[in-house]
Amino acid sequence: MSFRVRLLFAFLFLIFVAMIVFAFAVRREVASRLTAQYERRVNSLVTVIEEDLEGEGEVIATTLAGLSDALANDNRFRRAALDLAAADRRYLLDYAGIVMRLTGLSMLQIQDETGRIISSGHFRNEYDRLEPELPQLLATVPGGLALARARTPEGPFIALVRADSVRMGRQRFTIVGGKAVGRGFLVRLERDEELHVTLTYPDGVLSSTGLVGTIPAADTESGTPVEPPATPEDSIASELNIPFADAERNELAEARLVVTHPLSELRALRRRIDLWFLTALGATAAVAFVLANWLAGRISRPLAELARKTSRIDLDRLDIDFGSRRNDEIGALSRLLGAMTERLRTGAARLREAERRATLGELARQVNHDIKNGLIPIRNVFRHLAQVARDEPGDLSAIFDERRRTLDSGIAYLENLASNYARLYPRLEPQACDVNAVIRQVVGGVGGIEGVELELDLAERLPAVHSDVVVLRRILENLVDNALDSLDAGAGTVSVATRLVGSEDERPRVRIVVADTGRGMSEQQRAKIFDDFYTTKEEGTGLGLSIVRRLLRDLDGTLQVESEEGKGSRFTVELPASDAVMAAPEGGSAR
Amino acid sequence: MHLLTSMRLASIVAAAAVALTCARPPVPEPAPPSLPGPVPASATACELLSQPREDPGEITVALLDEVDVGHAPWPQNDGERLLFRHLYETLLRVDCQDSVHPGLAESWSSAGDGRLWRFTLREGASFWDGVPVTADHVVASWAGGAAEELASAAGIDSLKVESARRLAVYLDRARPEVPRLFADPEFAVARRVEPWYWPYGSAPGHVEMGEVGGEDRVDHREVRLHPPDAEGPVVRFLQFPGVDPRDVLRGGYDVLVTGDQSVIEYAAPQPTHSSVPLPWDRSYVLLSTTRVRELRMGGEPGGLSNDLLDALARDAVRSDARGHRPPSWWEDTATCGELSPASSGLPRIAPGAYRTSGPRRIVYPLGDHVARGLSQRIVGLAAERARRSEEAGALAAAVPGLVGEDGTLLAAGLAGDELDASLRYGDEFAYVVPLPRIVVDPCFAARKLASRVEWLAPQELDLASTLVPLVDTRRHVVAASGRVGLYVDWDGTVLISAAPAGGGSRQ
Repeated sequence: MSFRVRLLFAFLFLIFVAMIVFAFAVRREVASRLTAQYERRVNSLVTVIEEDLEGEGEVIATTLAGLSDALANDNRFRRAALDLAAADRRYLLDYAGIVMRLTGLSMLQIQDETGRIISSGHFRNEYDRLEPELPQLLATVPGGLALARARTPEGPFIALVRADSVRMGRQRFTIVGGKAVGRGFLVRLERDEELHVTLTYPDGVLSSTGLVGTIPAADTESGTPVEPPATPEDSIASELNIPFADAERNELAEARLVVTHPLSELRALRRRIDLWFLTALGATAAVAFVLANWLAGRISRPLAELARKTSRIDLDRLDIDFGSRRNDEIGALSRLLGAMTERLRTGAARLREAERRATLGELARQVNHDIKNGLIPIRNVFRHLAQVARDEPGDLSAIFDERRRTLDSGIAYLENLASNYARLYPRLEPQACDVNAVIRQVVGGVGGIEGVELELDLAERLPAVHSDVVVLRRILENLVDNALDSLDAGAGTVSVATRLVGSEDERPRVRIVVADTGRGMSEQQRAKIFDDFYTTKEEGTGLGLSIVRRLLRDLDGTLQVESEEGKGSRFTVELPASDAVMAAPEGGSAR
Repeated sequence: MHLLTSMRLASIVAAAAVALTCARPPVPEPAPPSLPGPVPASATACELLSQPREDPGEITVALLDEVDVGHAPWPQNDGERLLFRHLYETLLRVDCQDSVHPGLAESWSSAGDGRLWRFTLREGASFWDGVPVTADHVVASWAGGAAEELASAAGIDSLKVESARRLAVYLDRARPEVPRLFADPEFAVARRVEPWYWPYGSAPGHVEMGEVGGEDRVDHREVRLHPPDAEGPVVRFLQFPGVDPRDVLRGGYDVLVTGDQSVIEYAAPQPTHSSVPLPWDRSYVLLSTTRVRELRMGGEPGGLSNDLLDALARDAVRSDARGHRPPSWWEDTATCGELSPASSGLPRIAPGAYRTSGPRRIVYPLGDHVARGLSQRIVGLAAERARRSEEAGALAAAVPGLVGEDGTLLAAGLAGDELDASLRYGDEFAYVVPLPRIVVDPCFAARKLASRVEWLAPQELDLASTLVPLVDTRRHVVAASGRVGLYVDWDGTVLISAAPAGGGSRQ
C-alpha cells in the first residue's frame, strides 16, 4: 500500500470517525429533545381537550335547561304533545329542528315517556321512532356527558350529547341534545396543526386529518371483536377516554380520543441531518483525497527520488548528488545522505590508497621474494664459477657449460617475472571502441570447446565506449576465461550480453553481462575475488579480477558480481557510452 | 325532460320523407266533423278568479323558478310551464274538463279507421315576427326535440305535409277520437331562429322578450305579452329564482304560483291577495327495484294503506299534500298496446338490482322538497328494524328488503342527468319521483315513463302494481284581489285571462 493511499485512509478514518460520532450525537440529542417537547405538547393538549369537552358539556347542559324551561311554557307544544292536537302536529314535528338551529345544537330529539321520538331536529322524519336506550344510557354516565351515534337521512354522525327532561302534565319528556363531533370539531380541538386528534369509537374512527372510516363489526361467527386501529408507531400519542352511549347495542362503551404528534418532522430533521452529514462526508472525502495527494506528492516523491539515488550508491559510484534546497526533514535527510556519500567517497579513497599501499608493499615483498628466488641459482652458479676459476680454472669452461643451463633458466625466470609484472598495469590509449566487436573477437578467439555453449545477446545500435581496445579486450578475456574456467567438467553455458542503460537525466552506459552456469562462489570467496594474487585456480596468478577492477576504475566503469554457489556467477560491467554509435552487427548471437 | 338530439330530428324528418314517398295510398278525405266551438272561459268551471271589471293596465306574474330559454317550448319546471303555456300553441287545446278545443289547428278530420288524422292550421296564424305558420313549421317543430322517442311514445307512424296549412298524421293504431296528446306541451309549435335565443311562438298578441346575450330594452329575465288588439293589460312575466316568495308577494306582484305551505299560510290572511288551490296535479311515487324483482318472480308485494299515505302527506312533507287516491292514469294503460319503446336497444329491466357497493339509497330529485321529505321518512321507518312499527311493517310489505335488511339505508338527492341515468338503469335501491297526475293521453304518458325507467318492464308487469304511489300534491295560485282573472288548464297550469292563450278562446 503506497504512502499516498495510507495517507488518504488515515485522513478519511480520522475525519469519518469524528463526523460519525458528531452526527450520531446530534441525531440523538435532537430526537431526545424533540420527543420530550412533543410529549409535553400532546399531554398539554389532552388536558386542554378535557377542559374543552367539559365546557362543551356545560354549554349543552345550559342550552337543554333553557329549552326545558321554554317547553314547559309553550302551550302549543303542550297541546300537540299531550292533547295530540292535529292542528299543531306540524309544529311539534318541526319544533326540534327550529330550536336546534336557534340554539346552535346539531343534534336534538324530544322523546315521550315511552322513548318515542316526538320531534327530531337532526332527522325531522324519524318521528315516532322508539329509542329509549339513549337517554337511559346517558343517565348512567357520570356527569351525563357522552358520545353517541346519531343519524340523519343522509348518513350517521357522532355527537357529544347529554340529556335533560321536562315534565308536562303527568308525562316526563326527555330532551337529548348535543353537538356534532366531526372533522371540524376535532380540528378545533387540535389548536395546533402539528397535532392530530383521532376519535375511535365502537365500529368507527374519525380523524382531524380527514380520515373517516368504519371499523368492521365483530365477527359474528367467531365472536372475536375487531381491534380498533392502533396508534401509529411513528408518533407521540396520549389519549382520553370518553363514555360512548351505544344505543344500538344498548351498552355503555368507551371511545378513545387520541392526540398524536407525528414524528414526521423529526424524521425529516433526521433525514436532513443525514443528508448534510453525507454531503459533508463527501466533501471531506474529496478534500482528503486532494490533500492526501498533495501531501503525498510533497512527501513521497522526494523520498522516492532519494531512494532512487541511494540505490545507485556503490563504492565505485559515489558521485551521486544529494543536494536539496528544502528546509524540511526531507531536505535534511537528503543533505545527510549527501554528507554520508561524501564520507563514503573519502573513505573509499582512503581505502583505495591503503589498498594501493598494501598492494605495493605486498608487491614489493613478492618482487623481492621472486627476484631473490631468481637470483639465488644465478648467485650460486656465479659462486661456483668463481670457486672453479679460483680453484680449477681449467675446468671453468666445462663447468660453465655444465652450469649455463641453470643460468639461462634463472635469467628466463627473471625475464618472465619482469614480463608478468609489466602486465600488471598496461598503459591506456583511450578511443571509441565497439564493445560488440571486441566481444566477438574475444569469443571468436576462444573457439569451439566441446561441451561448452557460448551465447551472445548483443544489443543493436549500441553506442561506442571510450576505452582502450586492448584494455577492453583484456577485461573481457579475463571475464570470459574465468567463466569458462568455472564450468564443472568443462561443460555448461557461458553467455555474453550487451545493453544500453541509463535514464534520461544521466549519461547512458553500456552494460556488459558475462554469465556462466559454473560452480559459482561462496560468500567468502566473493569477498576476496578482487584481491591481488587471490585465486581458486591451480595455475592462476590471482591478479586477473584485480586487474580488471583496476582497469575499469580507470575507464570510469563499474563491475558488479552476483554469484550463487553451485549455480553460476554473473559479472556486470558498465562503461560510459560515447557519442559514437556503432553499426548493428550481423547476427545478434553466436555460439 | 329536456331532450334535444339532432339525430332524432333527422330520423323523424326521414320518417316524414319516407311517408311522402313510400306511404300507403292516400285515404279519401272524409267530411270534416263539427268543430267544438270556442268556449268562453268565464262560462266554464275552469275559472279560478273572475275577470276584473276594470283594466288593470299591467299584470305582473312572478315566476319562482329559473326559466331557461334553451328549454322552450318544452317546459321542465312550473315557472316554464306557466310562461310557455302563454307563448306557444299546440294543435289542440284541452280544457280542465277534458273538452277538446281548436288550438293552432282550427279543424281536423280522420280517415282510415282513425289511423289517419288531418289537421288544418288556423287561417292567419303567424309567428311573432309575422311569418305565417305552415305545416312544415309544425313538422320541424316536432322534430326539434326527441323526435324518435316522441313519435314512438305518441304512436305516430309518419307525418305528411299535404299543403301549407294541412298536415296528415298517420298513427300506429286507430284512434276513434282526435288524439288529445296533440294538446300536450311536447307537441308545442315554435320556430327556432338561432340556437339559445327565444324560439318564436304563434300565440296571438305581441311578445317582447329579452334575448340571452342581447342588449334589448327588455331584460332577458322578463317577457312581456301585449294583447293582440292593443286593448287590455300587458302581462309581464318576471323571474325570481331563489327569492323568498313572501318577499315577492310583498313586492306587489299580481300573480304567483307556489306549493310552499309556509307561503300559502302567509298569503291566506293577506287582504290584498287571494289564494286559490289548484288541482292535485302531481303524484309522488316510489319506484323500487326490489319490488319489481319480486313481481317478476311471481310475488305479490302489498300496497300501502290510505292511513299510512295520509300520515305521510300530513307529517312527512311540508306541502299541500294528501295521501294518494285513485284513479291514476297508470291504471288505465291496458289498451295501450306496446308500452316499451321498440327503438331502444337497452334491456327492458336492469340486469342486477341496486348498486352492489356503498349504502342502499332512496334517491329523489335534488331540490324537490316533497320527494326529499318522503324519502327521509322512508329511511326513518326503515330504521325501525328492531321494533317494527305498523307503518314500517306496511312499508316492508310493499318494498321487499326495505326494513330489516342489514346495512345502512340513506336518502340522497340526485340532479338532472345523473338522476335520469340512475333511473334508466335502476342502480339504486329505490326512487321517489313526481309524476304528473293529470295527463291528456295515459298511453303517451306510460310510454314516456317506460322509456325513462326501463326496468319497470311495463310489457310484463302492470304499471299499477309496480308503482307505489305515496302522496298527491297541489299548488296554490296567489293573486292580487280584483286585478286579474285566472283560469286553470287541463293539467293544472294557470292561465291568465288577459293573455290570449290558446288562440284567444278565453278572451
